[in-house]
Amino acid sequence: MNTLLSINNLTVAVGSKMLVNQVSFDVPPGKIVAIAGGSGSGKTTIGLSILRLLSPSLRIEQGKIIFEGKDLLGFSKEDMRQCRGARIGMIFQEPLSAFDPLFTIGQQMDEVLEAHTKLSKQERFKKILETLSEVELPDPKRAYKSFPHQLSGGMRQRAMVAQAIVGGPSLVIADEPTSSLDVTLQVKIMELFRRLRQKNISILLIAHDLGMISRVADEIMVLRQGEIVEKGLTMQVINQPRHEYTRALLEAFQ
Amino acid sequence: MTKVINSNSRTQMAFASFRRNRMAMVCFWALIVLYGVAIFADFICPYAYKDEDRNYSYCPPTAVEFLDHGRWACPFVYKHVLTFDAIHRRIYKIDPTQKYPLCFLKGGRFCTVEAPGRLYLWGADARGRDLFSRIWYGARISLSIGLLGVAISFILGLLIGGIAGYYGGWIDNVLMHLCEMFMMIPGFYLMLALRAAVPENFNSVQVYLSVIIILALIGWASLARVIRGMTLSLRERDYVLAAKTLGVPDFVIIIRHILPQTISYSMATLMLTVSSYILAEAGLSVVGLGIQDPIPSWGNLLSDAMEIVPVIFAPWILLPGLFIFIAVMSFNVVGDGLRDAFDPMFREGES
Amino acid sequence: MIKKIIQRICSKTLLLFAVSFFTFWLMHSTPGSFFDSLRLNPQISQDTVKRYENLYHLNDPMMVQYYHWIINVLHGEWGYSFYYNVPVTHVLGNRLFNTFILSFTSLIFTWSVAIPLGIWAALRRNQWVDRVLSVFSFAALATPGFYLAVILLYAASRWSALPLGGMHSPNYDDMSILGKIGDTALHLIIPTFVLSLASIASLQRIMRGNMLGVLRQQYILAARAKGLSERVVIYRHALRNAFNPLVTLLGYEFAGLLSGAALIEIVCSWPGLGSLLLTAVRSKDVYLVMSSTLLASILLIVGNILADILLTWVDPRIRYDKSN
Repeated sequence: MNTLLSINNLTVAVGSKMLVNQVSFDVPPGKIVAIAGGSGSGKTTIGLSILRLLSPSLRIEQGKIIFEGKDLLGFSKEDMRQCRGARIGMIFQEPLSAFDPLFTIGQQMDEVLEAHTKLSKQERFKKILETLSEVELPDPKRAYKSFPHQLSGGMRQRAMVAQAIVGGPSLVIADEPTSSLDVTLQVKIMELFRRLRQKNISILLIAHDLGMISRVADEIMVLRQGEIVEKGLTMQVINQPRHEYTRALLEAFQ
Repeated sequence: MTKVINSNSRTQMAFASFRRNRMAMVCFWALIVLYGVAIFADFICPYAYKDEDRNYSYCPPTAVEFLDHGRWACPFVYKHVLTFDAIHRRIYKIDPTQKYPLCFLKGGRFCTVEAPGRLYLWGADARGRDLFSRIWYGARISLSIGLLGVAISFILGLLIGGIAGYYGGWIDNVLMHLCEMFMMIPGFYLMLALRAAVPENFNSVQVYLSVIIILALIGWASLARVIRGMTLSLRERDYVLAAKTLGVPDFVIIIRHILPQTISYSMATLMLTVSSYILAEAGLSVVGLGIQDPIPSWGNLLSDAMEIVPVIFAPWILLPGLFIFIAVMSFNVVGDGLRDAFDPMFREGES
Repeated sequence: MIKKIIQRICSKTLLLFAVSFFTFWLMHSTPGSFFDSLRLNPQISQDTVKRYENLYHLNDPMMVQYYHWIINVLHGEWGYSFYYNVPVTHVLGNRLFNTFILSFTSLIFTWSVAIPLGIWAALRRNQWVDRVLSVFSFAALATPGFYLAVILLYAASRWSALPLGGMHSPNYDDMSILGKIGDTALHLIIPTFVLSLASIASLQRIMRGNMLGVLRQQYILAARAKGLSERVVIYRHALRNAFNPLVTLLGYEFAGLLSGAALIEIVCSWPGLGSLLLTAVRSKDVYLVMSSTLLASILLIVGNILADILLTWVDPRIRYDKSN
């Protein structure tokens, strides 16, 4: 199989307004594909559509989302639930609000393993500590016992990445993963993504900062008001942008 | 002078939204009716509130008849006579030989009957006083006490909360501790304690005023805290800072810039406070510590109904409770409606 | 955390002194001294009168009187009830316990009913369950407690064998321990129900609002994105976060309960602190009034402090404030 994820003509609407219009793209295994665009471009909607977590007022009008050879839009609720966290992971923009403030990091990661695997408590604990050190958290044991507010911003985002990959997914959707971090931390997270790519985990990177994207993505798609205006390998898009919107975005982040 | 367009349209938008809320509008009109009839009680009610006739103690509602032996006639009531039935219970028997026609627009009242006939639309109390009339005269007391109490609470709350929030520092500290002190005493207990301090020889007007002040004192503290919170956030707004740099005196800033904003948010809280005051007055009067007989208030009308025996015998004496219910419910719904209209985030709304 | 709580207790105690002074001043400022009626009362011996005059320095200026009253209070001498003809402490203890039983039972009933109802309403938003509960809440909040109590007592008298008020049946003293508990429980049914109704109405709405607010949060979306079952998402994550802020309410609930209980006690003839205060006010039994008010305030503060402790224990953000 040479594509992990294949989106065909995805169209999402709310009321009579199109949020995503006939979007098609592929994500090969072990590659970082970026969706770039300003706010309101529909990029987050694409991410949530893949996991079928759109709010009830949004409708998927048409399209196919083929993941690991199967159309996700045809999955039952239970199948979809089993897919989330175990085959596809998600990283959110603001880790402080994406973690439940009342539970420790360890507990929240344990939930993923409990829901998807049959590992014993000790085995889960070991796996979580392994994952926490994979994301280069300095003291995995302490991170395990910490509540989200006790970690610094950078550590929290790493923990979020850990939570996304602990179930062993082959695709991670990262929705603005570094927007709430300062530049030095952004670089570190990007390094982390590169390491994930080396382990053959694909990343669908949703962001607006073309400069940051260009440093790590293999392919870039530029989205504007729900439609793809440019698509291609990073080098091409950055150095020879064809669409004026792409050029505008590049200028904004140079 | 240029109109301040912004705040006008926001208020207008809020009121338009309120008008769309059907339930709130229904309750709003219910309140208008209640207050309206209360104001015009002298005209609408057949009797003065003191008018008693011991021959008709606990008389059931007198039906208004339109047919006289099968023929249409001017509306009238039959005479009701108190007798005892087979097991010596008191009941009222109708005497069909005596008819009292309704007289309209006589003596400044819409509808009465000539003595010795009595028109009891909703029954009579222990002393033969018309419950219908007493309920509507009582409405004057119960409804006005709520409003006046809230007015005083609001003024107190505005002053103290506004000053505390605006100046901050030790003033804020002292005033908030004062509020906390009042909030520390459970409401009913505070009410009773304050009532105990009212001299016994007060006449009815003085008792009325005392009850208003007592009610105002139990509720002002939480109002003050809310207003203080709002003032605290409002004083950091740019237009306040701008006014300060222009040398506008503090007092003017508070009155002209800060208070109008608080009022729109306070309105909902005020409605809810009125309803709690109506309940509080009823509670006070029903145990005999509020408005005293013979002046009716919905609360003291219900004190008759606190014993089981009269209720079994004359269930209509429970009617004033229904009016308390309607008034409180209406104020609550209107208050809720106002809050929804002014603060759309409050509605657990669709995204 | 302990430090904060001790701070709280200290500042509340200061306020308590203010409350006591306020009540004292209130009683004192009423013209027509009760001590005159005390002196005129043939049932009270001259010795008792003299003793209390000395004990409370009744002939001294107000501040001195207050000072001595406070000292006495701290020594457990809360004054004399002229109506009951015994020291205040004799009456207070028993009544306090009775009010406590009623309030506590009502609290448990309220929370066991309102929380599930609130969750249910939130999960079935705008469906008929939610609408019915909404109407019920409004109606319950608008019904005067004493009114509902009378109606229920009336209904009970006609259609059931429930006792009509009071706390014990006439043959209470002859019952076994189990019988006594059962008897008190029977008498508790109507007052508890009436007392709880308004609280259930408002608490249920608050829980519903909290639940709806929480369900909009990112971490709920994130939990679903992790592939957790809907049951876990709702009952582990949403519920706990929605419930947490309500813990502070527990303390303030207590205040509302004390207040509402007073009137219900009176109507249902439940021998508690509220009906005691009413008798005291009616008979201008000044020390009883002051002591009841003070005691009620103390209870309220204890409730608030307990709520603060509970919140600190239950919310890790507050508990681990100074850590790391």
